[in-house]
Amino acid sequence: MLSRVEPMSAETAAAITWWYDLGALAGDLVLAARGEQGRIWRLQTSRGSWAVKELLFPVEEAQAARDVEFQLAARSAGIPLPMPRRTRDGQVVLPADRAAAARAIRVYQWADLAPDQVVTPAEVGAVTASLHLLEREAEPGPVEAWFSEPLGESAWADLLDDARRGGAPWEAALGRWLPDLIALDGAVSPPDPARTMTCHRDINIENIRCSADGGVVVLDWENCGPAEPARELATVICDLATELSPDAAQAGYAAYLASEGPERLDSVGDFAMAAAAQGHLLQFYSRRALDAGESAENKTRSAKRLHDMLSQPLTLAWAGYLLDLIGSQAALLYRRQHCYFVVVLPAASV
Amino acid sequence: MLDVLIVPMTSAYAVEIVGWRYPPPYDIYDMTDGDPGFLTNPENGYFALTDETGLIGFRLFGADGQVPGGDYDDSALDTGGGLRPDLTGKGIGREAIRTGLEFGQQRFHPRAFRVTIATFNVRAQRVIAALGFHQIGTFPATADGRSFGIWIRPEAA
Repeated sequence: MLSRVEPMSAETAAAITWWYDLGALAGDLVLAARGEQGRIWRLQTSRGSWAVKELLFPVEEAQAARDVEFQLAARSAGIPLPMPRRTRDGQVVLPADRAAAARAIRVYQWADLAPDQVVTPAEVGAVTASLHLLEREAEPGPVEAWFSEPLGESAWADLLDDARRGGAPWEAALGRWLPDLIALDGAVSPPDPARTMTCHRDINIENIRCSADGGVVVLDWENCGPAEPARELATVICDLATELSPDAAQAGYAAYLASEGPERLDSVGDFAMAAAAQGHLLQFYSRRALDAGESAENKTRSAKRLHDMLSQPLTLAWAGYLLDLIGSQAALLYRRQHCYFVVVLPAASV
Repeated sequence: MLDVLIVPMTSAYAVEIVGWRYPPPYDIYDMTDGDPGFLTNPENGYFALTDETGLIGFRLFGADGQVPGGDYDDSALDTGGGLRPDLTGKGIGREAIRTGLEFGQQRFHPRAFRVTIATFNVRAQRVIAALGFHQIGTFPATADGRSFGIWIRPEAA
């Protein structure tokens, strides 16, 4: 798959080396990895190895500058991450024309990862706690719809219709889960501005990696932005449960508590961000997989992601199960069962 | 029927609690200018009460349950708490206090529980009397002279 990508030219390598002041060019740009938002190329210069990120989606300089600021704060607090580079004129993003490339560029110090080694749930929990303990600006702005708004019943129905019309292999799974996914939308309440802070918003086992020289390194900070940290914690727990196991989720949460992480998960509402992002991701991948004009690479990638996500999507039942799982371990101190009824009065009587 | 849960006090809960405002005369319980950090400090003994809908109240154990002006000794564990303003007067308070007492027994094993209640707060007095507390005295608060009663409930060893 990676070999089909058009190589970056020597001219591009030279431009990047000069603009980011990386010393003397010592090799070609070599494709190393592909993520949803960019391709990663490795560049060797006299000053070391660099990760050159080719941005597949436009990124505003102001947004990039904010995420760099957050990265630097995290790094100062001891969270290991590849050092982001700025250009000679202080910019984070090098526009495509300056890079002599098809797309804009960002550059990071290269991080050597330990091959075939997956971080432990405890490491994920500890890193999440460290991030939540960072001193940050409260109320950094509104939370984007991707992380805060449900897809909505009609959009879900459209998604299923599209899958049917396109003969998509995920149609059956989507149809089976649809009532649960629509019900989950009901748990997505707007974030409380007083509780939002700048968060990484993409903490998962693909972005917390084992470093070749020991320990972990945290990658992919470009999604960072406002969120309720508790809701981010819930997305981390969900990811551990689905990507590894429920036991991993329990271990990750225990490590978060042991690392003095300040948030606690105690209601399905904490899963609002995970639910919102899940809906938007399913929609994104579905559209991409069914788009005739999309590259084969993207269509295949998207279909696989849909298959994986629909094998165990987040639902109210799943969120409740995860809450019970982690609650039985640490957060829940005492439960008094069947205490009282909630009486809902008709509106006219209020 | 809902379960009442006791969970650690988080900063988010603490921020919510210090923002609660009660109608007079219960506004003496408003934590105006309260510091959420005080509530999340484990040494101050605050715990959150939740149910499926989220935060419904809090319970506290320790000296912060005392009112300056009262005569307190070490024979009992002070306890107190609050309910989300929109839930008061619906019979939930009794279950919240009962849950707190059960939790407190399990966690702290006190010889007795002690609560301090404003004399005007007949509603709260009825609830704790029903839970087995007996009034042992009254005193004027140092801050404003308002009358408070001290109530005790001995616990089985």
